[in-house]
Amino acid sequence: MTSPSSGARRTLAELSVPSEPGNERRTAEQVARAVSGLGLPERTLERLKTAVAEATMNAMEHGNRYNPEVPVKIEVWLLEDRLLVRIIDRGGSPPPSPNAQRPDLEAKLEGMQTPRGWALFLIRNMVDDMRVSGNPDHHTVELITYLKSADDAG
Amino acid sequence: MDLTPGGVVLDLRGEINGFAKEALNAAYAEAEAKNPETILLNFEEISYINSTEIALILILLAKARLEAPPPSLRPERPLR
Repeated sequence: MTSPSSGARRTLAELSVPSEPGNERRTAEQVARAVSGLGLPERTLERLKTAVAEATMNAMEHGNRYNPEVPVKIEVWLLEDRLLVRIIDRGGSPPPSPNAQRPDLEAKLEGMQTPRGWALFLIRNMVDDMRVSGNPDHHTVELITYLKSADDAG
Repeated sequence: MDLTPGGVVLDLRGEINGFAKEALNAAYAEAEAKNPETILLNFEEISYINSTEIALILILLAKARLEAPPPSLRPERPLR
């Protein structure tokens, strides 16, 4: 983990994680340590950890096909009013669609939807904003948490 | 596993991860063999579950629904 800084933006961490099952949790803990000085409420921090773990798992599985030689890169940025976590994979399959079908529990129980497909739904609901971009070489998922809205009330 | 007047309670503990599938299926099969009216899944002691393993639980629920007469199977507490 490194901690460079530059201008109005400050990089809190840059990680490179082998695509191996279980590393999503280690990544979430490393990100939590990187933002520990920001005083985020516990609930916000736990939600961020869930989003980071799910996005990292998606990147390892779908982007890097769980090839341990292909790392997932994670950048943690502190901007003026927000925390930005970027999760970057090597793009082994189409990028995750931010407009993916919303999970329907009843449809899943009836076999009309795959039982999977929860990750983006979870991520979207754990942070204030989520952005997905990509090209043939990589996909990037951006998780945004606004610092002023980071309270325990919601 | 706890037998109660209302059925069988499966107390899940620790992490539900990629290694949990066989244990979960075996526990469910054992509970099902007792022909209970209800099988409850108790998530109170679960420390971690991710989206992949939520799907594992759903597969179990869908299987229960397909069986006739289906046992009533529902989480005892909401997933956290």
